[in-house]
Amino acid sequence: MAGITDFLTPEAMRKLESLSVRSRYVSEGSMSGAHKSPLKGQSVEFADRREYVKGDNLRHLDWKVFGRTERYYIRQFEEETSLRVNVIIDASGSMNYSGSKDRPTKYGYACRVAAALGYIVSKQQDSLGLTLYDNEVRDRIPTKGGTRHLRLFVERLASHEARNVTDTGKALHALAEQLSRRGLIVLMTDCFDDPDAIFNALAHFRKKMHDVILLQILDPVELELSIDRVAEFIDLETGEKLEIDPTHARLEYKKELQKFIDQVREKCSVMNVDYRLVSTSETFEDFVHQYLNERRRMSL
Amino acid sequence: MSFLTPWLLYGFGALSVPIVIHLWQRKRIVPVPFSTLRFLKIVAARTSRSAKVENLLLLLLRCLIVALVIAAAARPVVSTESTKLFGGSVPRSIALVIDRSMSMGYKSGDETRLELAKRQAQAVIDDLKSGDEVAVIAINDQPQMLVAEPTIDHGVAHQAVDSVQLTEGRTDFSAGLRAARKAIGQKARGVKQIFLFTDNQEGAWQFEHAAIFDDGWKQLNPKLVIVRPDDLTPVNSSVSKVRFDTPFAATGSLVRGVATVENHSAAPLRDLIEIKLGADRVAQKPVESAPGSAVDIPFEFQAPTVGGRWVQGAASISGDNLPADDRFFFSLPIYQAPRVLIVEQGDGPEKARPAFFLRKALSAGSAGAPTKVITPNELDDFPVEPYSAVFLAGIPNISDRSSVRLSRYIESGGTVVLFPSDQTDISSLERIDWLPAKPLKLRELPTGRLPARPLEPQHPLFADSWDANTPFPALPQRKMLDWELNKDGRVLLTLGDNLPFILFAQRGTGRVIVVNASPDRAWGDFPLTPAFLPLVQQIGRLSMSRTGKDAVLSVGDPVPAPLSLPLDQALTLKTPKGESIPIQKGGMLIERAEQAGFYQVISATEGEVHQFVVNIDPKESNLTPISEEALAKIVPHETVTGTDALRLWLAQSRGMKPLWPLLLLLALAVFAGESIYSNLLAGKRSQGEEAHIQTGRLNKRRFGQPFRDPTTTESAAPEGAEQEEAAV
Repeated sequence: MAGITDFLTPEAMRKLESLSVRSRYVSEGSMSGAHKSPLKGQSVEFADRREYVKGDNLRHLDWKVFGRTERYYIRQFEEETSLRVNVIIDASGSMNYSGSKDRPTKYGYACRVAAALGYIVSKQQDSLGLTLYDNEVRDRIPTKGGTRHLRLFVERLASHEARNVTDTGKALHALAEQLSRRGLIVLMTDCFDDPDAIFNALAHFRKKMHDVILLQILDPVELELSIDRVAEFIDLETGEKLEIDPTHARLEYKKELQKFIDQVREKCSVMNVDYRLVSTSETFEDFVHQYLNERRRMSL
Repeated sequence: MSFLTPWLLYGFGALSVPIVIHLWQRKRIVPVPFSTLRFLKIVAARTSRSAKVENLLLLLLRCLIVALVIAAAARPVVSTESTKLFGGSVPRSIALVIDRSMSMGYKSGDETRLELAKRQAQAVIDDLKSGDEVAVIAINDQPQMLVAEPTIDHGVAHQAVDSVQLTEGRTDFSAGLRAARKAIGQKARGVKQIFLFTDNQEGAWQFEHAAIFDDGWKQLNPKLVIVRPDDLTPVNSSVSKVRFDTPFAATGSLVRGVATVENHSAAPLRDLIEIKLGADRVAQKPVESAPGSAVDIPFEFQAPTVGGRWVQGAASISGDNLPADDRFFFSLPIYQAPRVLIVEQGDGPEKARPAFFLRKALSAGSAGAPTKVITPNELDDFPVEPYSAVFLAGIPNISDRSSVRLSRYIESGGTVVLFPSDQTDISSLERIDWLPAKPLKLRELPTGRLPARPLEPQHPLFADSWDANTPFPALPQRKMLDWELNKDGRVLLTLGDNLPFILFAQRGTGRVIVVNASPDRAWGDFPLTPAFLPLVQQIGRLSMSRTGKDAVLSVGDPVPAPLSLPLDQALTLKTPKGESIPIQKGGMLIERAEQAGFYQVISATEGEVHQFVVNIDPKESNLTPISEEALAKIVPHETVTGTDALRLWLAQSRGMKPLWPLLLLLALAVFAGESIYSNLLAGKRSQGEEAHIQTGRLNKRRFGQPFRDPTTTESAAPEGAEQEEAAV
């Protein structure tokens, strides 16, 4: 049975304890918490006033306005609720790539990031859900809080391995339909799929008012094509083969990849999806630490 | 176009090297699992063709460099248009003169210089066109006409060149060049050329130049091309001489000699010299000699038990690149009892004859000399040459005929001893010019012994008999002749008041001794003194050694017959190679000694009667070539060194132009182009390495902006959502 310690060292956990995962938008949690809710309720954060209707609690009657205008207005407060964080990981064959024995596969890296986020979310008493997909949803854990749920979360991460071809559009559309309440979607993929299908799926999430984070995880070899001899490349998903001299193709390859990344970034920018390109050469705890801090600063 | 070194064209096989490397690299393609081929496919469609072209171009450039270098190494030459028009088909008459002297045996690498020279001569024949004529002459100091008449059959010329053998002779170009001029002068067709293949020693040009390069030469005007086999600085040393201080060897006697070693190199010589008698080494000495100098190495050895009349031996140093001159042969005579001829006047009882004491003294002891007695009249016709000494014992006079015969005898190494007496006609002695002095008058001396005083105590005549401890005794002489010394006469011993007692003169290889005393007791009791017997016997021994030494014979020298040969017998000459040549009476022993080593004259009845040694001419060991300046003063010429240079010269002489400098330049240019192209490609590839994709950058847009569906122009956000998000 895998545990959180299989992914996080005590030192990493101590480092992550000071962090928090927050949504940029309101969320619809089932329990009261520290996050903004679209509902007005009982909290200390003043939101608005409205005219009194029968049945309203007189405790919220604004006496100062009544004194000036002799009209009844009710003070409204924002309701703070818990955050629903859904971690979605691409578990297709292409994620099973590592350019070096010293580095984890992209899927392994995504699992470690997911574990770190899960740990933080669990610590801040929020709900955590997990979805693994390749050409369809392979596994899903609905959002729930608590330590036991975090354990389940980690076990599911550890019990899968990346394989099969990708069909991001199909899988994510199906998932978007199932997520009725607004929350935070953390999608970790290499985006090596039909870009339009990915963008449509992201648009689907955004339409449902989810705050979406897209972490595009790539290996340094994929980024640099740092192979110095003529090689026969074998596609991990399709088994297709292609002989090419990387030293000749490197520049053009990088241009193409950059173009693709720019396209993804631009689309994400338009859709207000929080996009980040991650290299597996960076340690995941540094990445999580830096990313969440940066995200916190940007949202201030 | 033709190639000077066409065998190097096999080097084109090296072209396979870059091709094999190229193919081998393609074989080394490794499978690499990769996440997606999506981008690689796009790139491959765009770059694989250009990559193939680039690789192919690089391969072609590298093959081209290799091909150009190999082609340049094969030394191609091309004919120019002008050659085709004007000089291309002019017939040639050429003479190939190949030096086969001893020095051409110098090893240059694995081959001797003669072998190189022969190869070069073959190259010249190969260069000839079908109508060109060629004569072949081998020379040392004499020409050997291998193809005397110039022939258009080049196969014959090839065979003639192949047949040239190395000799031990010296070099002298005079006869060879004269023969070459004569050969190509017979049929003067077109261009006339003489190719002289030689190491070009300075000594080879020491002849009367005007006699060879005369008007006839200038009229024929042949082009003289001196082809040197190589331009190496030769390293050579030789044993040039062996001289013995001991005139002959006897069993167990100590023999002393000196060997001369010459160092002809520019480096100091450190070596060992060995003296061998037969196969036995009897002495060994270190040799150290400065560059370009000679050093005398004294040696001595105990003469072994010997049979025969001569001890054969050799002095040798360890071998160098020219082994023929590292050994010097010598032949040391074994002591033989002298054969003495006594000439005396008178008859009667033996004791009353003038030469009685002489006969007794000479025949005394175990090694007594056999003597023969004749009268002065018989001397006119008696053959004196077989005798080592002729004692003239108080004869009245010497006839002119006898005087001439004795003079020749002395010149050829004989010893004549004169004892005057009362019967001797002094005036007849005055006419004899081979005596050491002229007699003046007879002097009466007072009674008593006259003290003797040797003026040359080291003379061999006194050796082993008298010295400072045992002085020559005082002699009781009553009469003595006064003498007037000739220019070369010497007094060895005086009596009393500087009265000359023993007079001596060297004549040729022989000697004349005058003892100023009668052979009998007429002038005193000298024959009865203890000095008489040893003196007479010492004269006999001395007559066995030739003070003038034998002439040093070198290969190529004629060898005259010595006078002492018993010409009445059938004689044959045995050469060092074991050949037997009959000797003609009255002629030379051999017209020309062709080999170094021991020559023996063998009589059918007496066995070996004479022996002589022939060695390499010491001048031949000096391999220093004559300087171009000195040679230019002797004759107009061109010098070509080495086979490659010869091929080039031949090509150029036919108006061909060398193509290889251009090919090398081209190879250099292609190499530069390949380098530039490789660098450009490397630069292009490094651009790919330098360009990095940035990671980790967040969206530029601020958070909380309203969502817009990129697939539609209008916002697809649910109603009210925009306000909500804006509020956050």
